[in-house]
Amino acid sequence: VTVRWAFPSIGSFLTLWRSHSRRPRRAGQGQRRGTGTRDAAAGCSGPTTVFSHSSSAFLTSDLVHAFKRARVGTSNEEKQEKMSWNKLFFTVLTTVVGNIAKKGLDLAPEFLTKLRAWWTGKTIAVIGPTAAGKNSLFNRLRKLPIPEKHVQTRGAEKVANFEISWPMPDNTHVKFRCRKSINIGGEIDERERYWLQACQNADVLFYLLDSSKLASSQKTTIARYQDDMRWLVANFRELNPSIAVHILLNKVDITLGSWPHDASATKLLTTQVALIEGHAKEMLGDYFGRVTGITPISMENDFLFGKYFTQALGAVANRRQS
Amino acid sequence: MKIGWILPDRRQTGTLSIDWGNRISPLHQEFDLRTIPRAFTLGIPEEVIARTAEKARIFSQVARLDEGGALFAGSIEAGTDDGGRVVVLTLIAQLHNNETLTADCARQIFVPASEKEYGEKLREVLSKDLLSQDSDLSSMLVAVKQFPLLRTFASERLVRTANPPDWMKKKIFGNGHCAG
Repeated sequence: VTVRWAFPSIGSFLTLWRSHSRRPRRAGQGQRRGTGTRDAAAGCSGPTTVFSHSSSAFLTSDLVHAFKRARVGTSNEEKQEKMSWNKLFFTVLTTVVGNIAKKGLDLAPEFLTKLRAWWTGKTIAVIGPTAAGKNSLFNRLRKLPIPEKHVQTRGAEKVANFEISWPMPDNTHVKFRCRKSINIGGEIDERERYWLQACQNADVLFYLLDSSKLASSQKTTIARYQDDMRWLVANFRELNPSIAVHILLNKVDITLGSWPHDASATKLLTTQVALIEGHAKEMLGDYFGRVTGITPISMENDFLFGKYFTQALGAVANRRQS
Repeated sequence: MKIGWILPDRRQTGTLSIDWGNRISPLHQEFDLRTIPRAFTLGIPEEVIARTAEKARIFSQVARLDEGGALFAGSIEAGTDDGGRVVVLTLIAQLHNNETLTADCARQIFVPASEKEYGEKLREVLSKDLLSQDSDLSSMLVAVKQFPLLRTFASERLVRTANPPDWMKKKIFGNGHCAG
């Protein structure tokens, strides 16, 4: 399927940009680098999905045009922030899938219908190491407020069926329901007891990894990631034969810090994506074909989450349909 | 009776440890986790923490094991980890057949050196609850004796769990009988 991913209309883009959350991250969840404008920078980013091997990798020039148009009426600093953030993801994408042809997304009505049909009624599972953002992802998807009290998840907890609203380029939304999801903890003992239960009925498996921990303690984070990939290989036979695995590299806002991002921040994110892609290939072997992509994301920022998660959904549906 | 403490993972390492008094080991290496019923949570389910405003309250569970004997767990909130998340300290007791935890026994349990404050608090509440006939813990222990064929028991009613215990406080059975 040849697809062309178009950015939402400039009107919705600006609305989202203006209204995106500037909620500060909780103390202890990560340190900001520098002061001030990280959220503003984050809020101006465009969607990017980094595909590990998909022939349908995409990032559209429409996004660039949208940014160019959005610059009207903003200060020079804001313009630079927006372009900087956008360029950064272009760099990451180019580095990882530079040799893969970028195809456009043809969001024809029939294709949207297919996407809607594919996602409707799908069951998702969310797994990942401790404090990778699994709870936050479920809260995001269910449009629940960020709880005042964050709790280490223990045991397996049913997640009420919920509906995901997926914004389309024509300002409409594709809505689909997720059912029978289970929220689980990320500790090793919890993985051994509950992850399989959470994944067994899933059509799509989101694996979350903390980008900021990858930056601060790479050795232990990669060791755990490899261990989880081994767990996946050992349990794939128990899972839905057509299950898709999508890796979400969470907390990239912390990794990159405040704008302006220096060259080292860009390089760091690029390296991280390449690293987790490389280890996934190595550890999953033939099962690597189940991986639909690696998407940088932030659960803390409304705009970033909306855009990038939508891209992840598109990537999964596109990959599974092709 | 063998006593251990599942320590809170304050540094978010992803590996919970158990303190046996003379040594500390990774939890997943100390138990065959497949033999522990899924309904027996090694900690406190989020829904219990969310609705428990009262501090120093323990969540207790018992699980009868296939190979004989039982596990008792008493858990208490133990502050937060490096990321600000609420973490839990759990006392776990491996019981022989027909063995029960008594208030006298609870008072003599060692407290982990790294979690003295919360360990002592849990021990104190546990001893007090074991003496009180009205406590949730006592109700649960009565049920353990009353229903020898049930495997898993919890001192709190759990609504959101994917693996409900066979007996929970105020659980309504299929025949309409209220067991709590």
